[in-house]
Amino acid sequence: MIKICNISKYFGKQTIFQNITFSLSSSEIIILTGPSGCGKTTLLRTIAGFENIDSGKIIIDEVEASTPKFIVEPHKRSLSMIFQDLALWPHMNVEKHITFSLKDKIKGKKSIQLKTEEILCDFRLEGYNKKYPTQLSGGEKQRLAIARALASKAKYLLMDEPFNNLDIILKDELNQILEKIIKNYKMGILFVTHHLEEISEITDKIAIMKDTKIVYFDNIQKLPLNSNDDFVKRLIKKG
Amino acid sequence: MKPPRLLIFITLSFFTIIIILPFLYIIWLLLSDLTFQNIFEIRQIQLLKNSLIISLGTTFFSLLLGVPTAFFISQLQSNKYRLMILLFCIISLLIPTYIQAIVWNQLSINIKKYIDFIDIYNLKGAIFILTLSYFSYITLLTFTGLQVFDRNLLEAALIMQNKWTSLMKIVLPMLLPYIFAGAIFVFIFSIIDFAIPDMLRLNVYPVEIFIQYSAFYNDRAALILSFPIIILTATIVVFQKAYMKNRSYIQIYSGFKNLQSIYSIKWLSIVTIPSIIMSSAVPITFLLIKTGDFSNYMNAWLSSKDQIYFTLMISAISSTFILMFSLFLAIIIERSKNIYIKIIHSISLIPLAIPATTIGICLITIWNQQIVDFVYSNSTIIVFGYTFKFLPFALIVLISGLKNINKNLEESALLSTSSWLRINYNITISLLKPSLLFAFFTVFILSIGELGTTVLIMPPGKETITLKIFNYMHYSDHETVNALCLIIILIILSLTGLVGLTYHKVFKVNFS
Repeated sequence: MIKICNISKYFGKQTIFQNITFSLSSSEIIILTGPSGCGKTTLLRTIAGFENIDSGKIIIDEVEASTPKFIVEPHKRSLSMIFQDLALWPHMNVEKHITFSLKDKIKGKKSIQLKTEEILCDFRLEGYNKKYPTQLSGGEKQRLAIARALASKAKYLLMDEPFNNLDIILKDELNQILEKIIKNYKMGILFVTHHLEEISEITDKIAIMKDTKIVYFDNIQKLPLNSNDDFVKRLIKKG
Repeated sequence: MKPPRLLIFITLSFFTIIIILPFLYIIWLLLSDLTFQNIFEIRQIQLLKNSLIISLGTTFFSLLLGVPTAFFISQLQSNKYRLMILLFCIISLLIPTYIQAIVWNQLSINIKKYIDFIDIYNLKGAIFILTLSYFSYITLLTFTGLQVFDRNLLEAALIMQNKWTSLMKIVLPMLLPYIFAGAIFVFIFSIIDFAIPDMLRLNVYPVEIFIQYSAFYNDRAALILSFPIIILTATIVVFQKAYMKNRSYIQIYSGFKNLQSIYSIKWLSIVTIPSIIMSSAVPITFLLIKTGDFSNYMNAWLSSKDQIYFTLMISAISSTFILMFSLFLAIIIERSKNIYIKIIHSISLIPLAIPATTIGICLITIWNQQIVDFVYSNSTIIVFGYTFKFLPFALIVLISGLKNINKNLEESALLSTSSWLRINYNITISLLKPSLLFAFFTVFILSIGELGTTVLIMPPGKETITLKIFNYMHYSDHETVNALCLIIILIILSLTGLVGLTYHKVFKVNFS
């Protein structure tokens, strides 16, 4: 379980987020949403270990991962991340994207090769082994980013608006993949998105961030229908 | 948007006269002596060996210093320190190589009094001085790569592997084109450098070419002698262009992007700080100490002020001409998909590969004819020489600048007017102003320090400050030489400050 305990983050005098507290258990999905610039991405990066915190602590599987004094390196946190722009490495082909994340987890060249084939097959990327990101379509790139994130066998997955800029057909296809992840991989997922309709059906909880704080954190079905908040109203309307 | 035919015709005519003509002359000369008897002599092999040892050694040590220095700079959290170290790197490039040679030559004599085995009059000495002169090219190019490096790509790796695996598998491979470009520049500049091997009395190609011409008056032998080195370096230049593809060599607009502080900078500073100090602060401090009292500066100034004025004037005229010429050429190259224009782009980079002394001999042979004496008898020949030699630098800067200008901006202007001149004046050239200033400044500084070509093509009765220093050196007038070197450095640094101020005030470039 990832426990976020009262964490705050400042850039100089600017507050990015403050007093954030929630937890994510394995095989649970939480949507993190909120208006642009409210600190969602920085919160995700903090959980991943790319940013330090100024107060509070982050505990991952009963081990302190971030405090204001120290920070556990990202690759030791048992989590994985899908970036908004996917962050595919332009100099590596599809196969190398997967083997890069497998190398510490599986020993032996043949085992790595077999596992890579299996993952590529899972994400309908078989036959694309030697292709580079620039040679892939939008959907294939998305599938590669997800495959790479899952190859590391992490227990938690952080997703930073990875379905942005996709058309409806691709979003449907990726939703199916997401359902498959939940079913087969049993990961805890923290999903940052502006578009609630994308995954509202398969999610458990929702966290709404506004003005640097989490203003709502509960089951998605319990969203207050008569809320006065403009953002929540729009969210309900869309969802 | 396609440039007008008249502009293409005029620009390409100039290109033919100034760049292609000397180039064709070299090729014609080589083809007319197909026996190449001299090339395979043992002496030639020794020359090639010496030149290669110097250039490969310099490239190796420059890589060893340049890449860690770029990482060191990018990891610094303090903007002030980062700017300061970058400034020192730039200063080390601004100090002409002959000044580095003068300083380290005198320093080695002083050190030799205490440590007997120190001797820089050999290949190792040349590698040492050339490394100090050129490693900042690799630093600045690698730093450019780090500036445009997408931090997400590193973070995507860090979440799976440790920072060293991520460095080796993700960061370095992606920076490779920039590092490689820097290494090739260093290799070429060190293999064709004339000033340092000449002062250290080493047998390398540029020096031997100069001797063939000035001592034996054998221009043909001198040019044929340069054949192996031109073939080697020209191949590398063309290969480098292909390898860099559409990447920009420089980033003028983007401030300093801080790559996440994941790599320890403490141990990097052990390598980088001393080398930066040795290449920039040591030469200046040494010259300051050795020049002595103020009267030496006054004497140097009074004896050389005409040469200083002439140097500044001829450098300004040449830079202005090169800027205009390279601007039109860059627009033609960048906005055209024609295969012939792409070939012209490759040819335009070849002067980078030709030793300065060879350029001088070619220009003399072509323009020292009665029918075109108007070029050779006055300073026009110097403008032509500098244009041949420095056009690639201006082109690299301007093409990088043009690549950063979105073509949609020009296309949206097309909805209002069809005038090429109006669109380019109001949109392209306006947006290109920072690159234009940088190109002018680069060429101006390089022109001030030019020696290899100038020493051959200078018209009678004229002298640049570099030539004056070169001549004074042979009379061992160290005080005057040191004072003149400092005056040159002061002029160059003042100009750098002025350009920096212009960027900050006019172009609103934030250096922090």
